[in-house]
Amino acid sequence: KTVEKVTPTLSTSKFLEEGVLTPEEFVQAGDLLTDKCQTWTWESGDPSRNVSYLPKEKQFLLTRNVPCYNRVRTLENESKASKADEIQIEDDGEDSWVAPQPVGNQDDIEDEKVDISSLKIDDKKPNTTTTTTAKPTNNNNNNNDDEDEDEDGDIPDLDDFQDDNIIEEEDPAVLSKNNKTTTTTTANNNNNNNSENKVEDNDNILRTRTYDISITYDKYYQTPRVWLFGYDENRKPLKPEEIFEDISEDHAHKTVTIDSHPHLGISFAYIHPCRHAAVMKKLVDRQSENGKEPRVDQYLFLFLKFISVVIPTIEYDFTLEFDT
Amino acid sequence: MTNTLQFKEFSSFVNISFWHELSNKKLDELKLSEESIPLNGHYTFSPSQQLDPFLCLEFNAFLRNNVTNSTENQYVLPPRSYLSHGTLYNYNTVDDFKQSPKIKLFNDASKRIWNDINNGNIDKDTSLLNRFILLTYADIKNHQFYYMFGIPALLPSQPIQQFTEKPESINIESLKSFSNQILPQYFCLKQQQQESSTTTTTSFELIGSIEEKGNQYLNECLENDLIPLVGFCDPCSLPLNPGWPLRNFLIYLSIKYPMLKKIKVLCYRGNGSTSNSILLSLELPSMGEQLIKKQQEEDAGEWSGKSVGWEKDSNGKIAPRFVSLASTMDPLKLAEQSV
Repeated sequence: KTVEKVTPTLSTSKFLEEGVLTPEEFVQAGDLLTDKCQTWTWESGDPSRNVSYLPKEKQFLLTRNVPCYNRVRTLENESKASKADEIQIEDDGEDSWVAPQPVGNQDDIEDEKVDISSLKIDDKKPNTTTTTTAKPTNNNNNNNDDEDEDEDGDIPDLDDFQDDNIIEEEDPAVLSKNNKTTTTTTANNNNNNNSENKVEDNDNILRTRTYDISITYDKYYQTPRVWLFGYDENRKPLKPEEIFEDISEDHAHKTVTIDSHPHLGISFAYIHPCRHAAVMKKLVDRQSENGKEPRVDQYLFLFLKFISVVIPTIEYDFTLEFDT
Repeated sequence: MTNTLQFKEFSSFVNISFWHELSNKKLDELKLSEESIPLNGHYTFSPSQQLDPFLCLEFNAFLRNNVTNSTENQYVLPPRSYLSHGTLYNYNTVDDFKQSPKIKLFNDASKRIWNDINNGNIDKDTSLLNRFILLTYADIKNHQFYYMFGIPALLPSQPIQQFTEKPESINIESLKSFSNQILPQYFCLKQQQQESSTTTTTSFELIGSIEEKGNQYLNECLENDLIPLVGFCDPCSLPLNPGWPLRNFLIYLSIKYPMLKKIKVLCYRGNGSTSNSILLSLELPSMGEQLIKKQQEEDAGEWSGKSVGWEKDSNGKIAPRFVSLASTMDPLKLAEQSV
């Protein structure tokens, strides 16, 4: 019902009743998030896209370079039971910040998912999502799963660009995974081959996808809205269909869609907020039932916990680092 | 026992928003100009043990640092991030890009660092030790970008050596207070050591930034024959290796304090827990008199000392990188996606 009510901006708190936020409450919750989790920051974005109901320097929230080691596919192959256990344990930590059982009860969450799928979205652009992912194979003639870059047109042969004039000094002080010369030709220091061997072994850096996750305030739904900006192992931007690989299957094709980020003007994937308020309302109610007083400034912690069901392999931070 | 200290190179990380901004700039302002443009890049602590140290560029990279009029937006570093000064050379055609005087541009940047060390600019602003160049060809019609990064590190006459006398460990507790404050990029530290039969445990206390306290502190240490302890904010997270920003800093110290032979360095890693910070004991080389002399003789010319730091591809070759953003920039593809 809230969804249909297009108010200018929400001015009185309806957090407890409807699970929604006023812009002021969004700022309050964002302040606590950035305070407790230093990886999250407030951003101002493109000044020409500022919205007036939020402070100039607090237009949206951002966390950068969040690692994402696995695709959802691999996670879902793992035993579901063990996953449920993990979540359970996490939630039972006595003095932890919040949320008695936000996602602990798997059955409830399953219910949510079914709800979402069967829900008609009364939005100006209803259910854009299903079309999005059905497409990629059409665009992509040479169905290469891993190297589908070709889709974007001709990939130039970068060997053409090799500049033979740039020959860099052999430098024994550079650690790089390709530094194969360390043990053999390091001039000037023959007394330490052993140690260098060891050092080379220590470049165990894993090449992984990373995400920039941003949270904007959605005036229409009066909830936060989550945006995903993904990069592959070589820091190249992920294409939308690749991002879907990191979204839980139950949600990928139903709740995630593409649009232009309101403060950056760049198109990217976002999690459709149409059900956010209802889920938040449920979580808040459950908190009350368990005798905890829901705090509006902790909204985003609760919210991010719920979002982690949608993007289970993206390891963003949403726990309180220092207990207060 | 000594061994050569190895540094972990930066990986460039160009945010999509930067390419958008470059495209807009090219259309609206730069047009066919190939003049160099100052950029602001930043690095921060590695969020995870398993990520490369990143040098990042975002949409705001073109904003200036010292804005005096109110119409212009000022560049603001993301929190807990540190500045790297960049220069962009954007070319109009692939051929121009290919034939650009890369070595000269790289040497120019190296020389600026060298000059800033020698003329005292670094004393006032240590961030000038971190420079990069970015060469680009932006094919804005097809939303394709070719680019190369060079992040120069000046080479000492001899590689810097690590020495160990007795195993040392860090008192993690003493670093806790660091995570609640804005740390300078480079700083000096007071140490307190607790000896046991097998190890030394060191606690740290911040004295101040190099700009504020460095001169006084380092001279005091030299007078009293103490090994100074400095620290820097390290984007690397490897257990034995520091990141790239330490390189030019050590060069700076060895030029500025020729009597300084040994130094201890705290590589502070501020990601969540500070427990993977490391402590290094280093022997500084004399910065090679021949290098300094050579430099003075050819002062008018190009940098003639040595430096390294071109970004390599996955095969370890120095080659340009390529990115296509058609799927997020091309209006036609976007229309397809958002039916």
